[in-house]
Amino acid sequence: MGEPKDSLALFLCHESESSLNEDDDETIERSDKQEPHFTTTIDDEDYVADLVLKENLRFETLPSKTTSSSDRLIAIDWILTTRTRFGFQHQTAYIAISYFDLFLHKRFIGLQKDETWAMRLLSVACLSLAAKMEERIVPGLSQYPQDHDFVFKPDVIRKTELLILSTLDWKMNLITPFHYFNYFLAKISQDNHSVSKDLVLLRSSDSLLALTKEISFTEYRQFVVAAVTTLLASSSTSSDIRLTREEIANKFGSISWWTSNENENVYLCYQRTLEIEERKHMTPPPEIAVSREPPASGSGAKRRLSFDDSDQSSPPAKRMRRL
Amino acid sequence: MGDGSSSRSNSSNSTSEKPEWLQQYNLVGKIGEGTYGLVFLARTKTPPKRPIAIKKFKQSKDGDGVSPTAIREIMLLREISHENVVKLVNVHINFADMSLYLAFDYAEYDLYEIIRHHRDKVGHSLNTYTVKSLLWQLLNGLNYLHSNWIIHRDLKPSNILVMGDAEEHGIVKIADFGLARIYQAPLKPLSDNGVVVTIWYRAPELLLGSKHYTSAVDMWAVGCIFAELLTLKPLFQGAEAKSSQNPFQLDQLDKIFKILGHPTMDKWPTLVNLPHWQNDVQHIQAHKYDSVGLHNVVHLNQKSPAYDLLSKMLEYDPLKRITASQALEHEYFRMDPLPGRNAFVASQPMEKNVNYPTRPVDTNTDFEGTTSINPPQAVAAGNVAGNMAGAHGMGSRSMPRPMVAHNMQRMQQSQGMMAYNFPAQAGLNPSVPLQQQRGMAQPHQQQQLRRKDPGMGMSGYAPPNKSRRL
Repeated sequence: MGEPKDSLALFLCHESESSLNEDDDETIERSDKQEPHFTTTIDDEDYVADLVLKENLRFETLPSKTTSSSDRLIAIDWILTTRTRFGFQHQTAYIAISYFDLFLHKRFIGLQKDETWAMRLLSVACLSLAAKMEERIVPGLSQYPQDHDFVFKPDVIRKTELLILSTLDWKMNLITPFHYFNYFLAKISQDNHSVSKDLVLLRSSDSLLALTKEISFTEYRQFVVAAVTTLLASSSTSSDIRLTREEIANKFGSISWWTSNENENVYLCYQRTLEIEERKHMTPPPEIAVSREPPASGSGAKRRLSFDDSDQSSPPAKRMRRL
Repeated sequence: MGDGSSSRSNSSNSTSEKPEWLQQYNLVGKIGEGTYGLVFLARTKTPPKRPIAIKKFKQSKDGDGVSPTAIREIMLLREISHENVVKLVNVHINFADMSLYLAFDYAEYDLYEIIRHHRDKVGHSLNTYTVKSLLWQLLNGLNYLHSNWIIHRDLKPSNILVMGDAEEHGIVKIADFGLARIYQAPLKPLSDNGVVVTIWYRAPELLLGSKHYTSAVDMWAVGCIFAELLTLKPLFQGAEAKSSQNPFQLDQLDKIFKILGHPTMDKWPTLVNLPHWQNDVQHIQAHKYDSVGLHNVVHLNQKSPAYDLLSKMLEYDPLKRITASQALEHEYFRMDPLPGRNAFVASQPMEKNVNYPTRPVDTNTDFEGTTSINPPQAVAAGNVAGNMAGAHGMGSRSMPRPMVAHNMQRMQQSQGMMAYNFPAQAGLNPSVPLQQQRGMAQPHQQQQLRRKDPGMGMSGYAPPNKSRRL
């Protein structure tokens, strides 16, 4: 027989955000890396089309329960801060927040007085699981930072990990916007040769993590969020132009699976993201609000909680299971 | 079936001490100790009673929580469903010690034991039909994995199982997904896992330190397995260097170069980009190799389709290496004897069938960390009655004798282990069988796949279908 026909059929494995990772093997990484290119292979097309198909099949429109919850914001801040401390990838933090949102959709935790420790424990376990999925070097459970208020033993975190895994039905391999960034950037980059690809990726990652405070993982399909984030990150910061539906359709016109339905979803998410940005400029900085002690958590008395392997007696909260 | 096996009901005093999830099984005994923990043989109590392999994940280092390998294996097996991939039946959480147990459909054989049996007992090679059927089914399962953007990364004979029960007799199952990866997932050097992965099946681009690799690494391993099925010994049996993280594997490369010859930039253009090629240029390029030639090792005619397929699997350049879907279409599989669903028994047998020994079962070992359990029923492992019984010469099968189980009662605190106050923890029901992700998603998804891969999914084998058995 002759040479293999479909040599492009091999699909490449490579780090997403490889240029953003601080890597001990930076020298080796650089010598091994191909020159960056702004075209996609046949398999990239197939792969992204598969992802979009999966997302469309699995997506359920659910009303958001936790978008404006102060507890959720505190949890996200903790995850983002800890991500920076450990040097995790942006994607790891995003996945941890996604686990957090998905878990709470299945097991609702009410905003009761003594629930703040549960939110922190959930945050620790979600970040630990995300690190196990995404990071080369995973810290031990005892290395996660402890507060004065909460001290969790490794066994307790492990049990929480198991609870999350069972609740999410072990479906831990989430599709995230990071799967799409390189692809969308390649599709729209012909308009912006002057913008550095690495810079756009970094902007996309940073703005995506900031966006998690405003929208939860379950509100939009991930490719929609990725397309919007890529659009915003690749446009000039001095530009104040809003894109129309038609202009967005032109940006993604070379994508074979892009339909008017996809375009409409992206347009709506794009509009909302711009509204969020505008609202931020007109309201006081959120840091002031977050830095205060939440009044609901008690009357100023800090509570040091140390959990052993014993049941915590507490009134059962309502369980809202997703059907 | 009259080989003295008998029922022995003795579970009255131990039923109340079993974990709840374990009460649906009759435990037979220990069948092995895998890389990550013990493996037990059990049988479902409810009809249809079938053999189950229960794999316990021992906890990784103290304080590390649930092991990433366990999460990855469960996660992937929950996503996939194919006749030639091992089936995960259940996931159990043992709350006494917070350990994980995976329940699989039990497979009586694996390629490692089959090859060893031929080498040590039978004294001659596997017959052509069996080699071809095993290889075809392995490629069929692998094509499914690659089409779903999964790279196995640890293919070797012991991870290629073959079913022994009546319904699926002779069907190949790819197993052990602890190192598998999905496309674009972040890569980790294999040495990071702290796992003893045999180096004999590792692709040259990995040996030369590449951190960016493709599904071609699986195809190299299949080539090594193919050669081993032919010769009954590993093709590249090098000694692994374990001095540091990602060490230079000189001996393994040496074994490869002695047979296939020295790689050149003409044949492998991206060779110069590989880290170890630059760093250890003296070790490799200074050494003179008089290659034996692959055809001399595997004793195949260089013009035969079998040799052509094997040499394409063992292509140095991963971009030129044959893919699973291409291999399934190769001329080798279109010649007689055509591959069949039962790798052991052809529909028109030309040669005598080989009866492989069943796995030894240690009935005296208890679950670690759980209460002592007396097996209520002593049954031979894999001894399933069926229309294939005659072909196996049932009388020659050696039955493991029932032994008195260890009777020490180790009470485990099963109450009050939940230290956190998550509501509705009573709703956590880990023993409920996991629903296969079928229905709307999978058939529709398969129809939408761009590349038409004949033989993908449940359709079975390449045309013509003469060799298919029902």
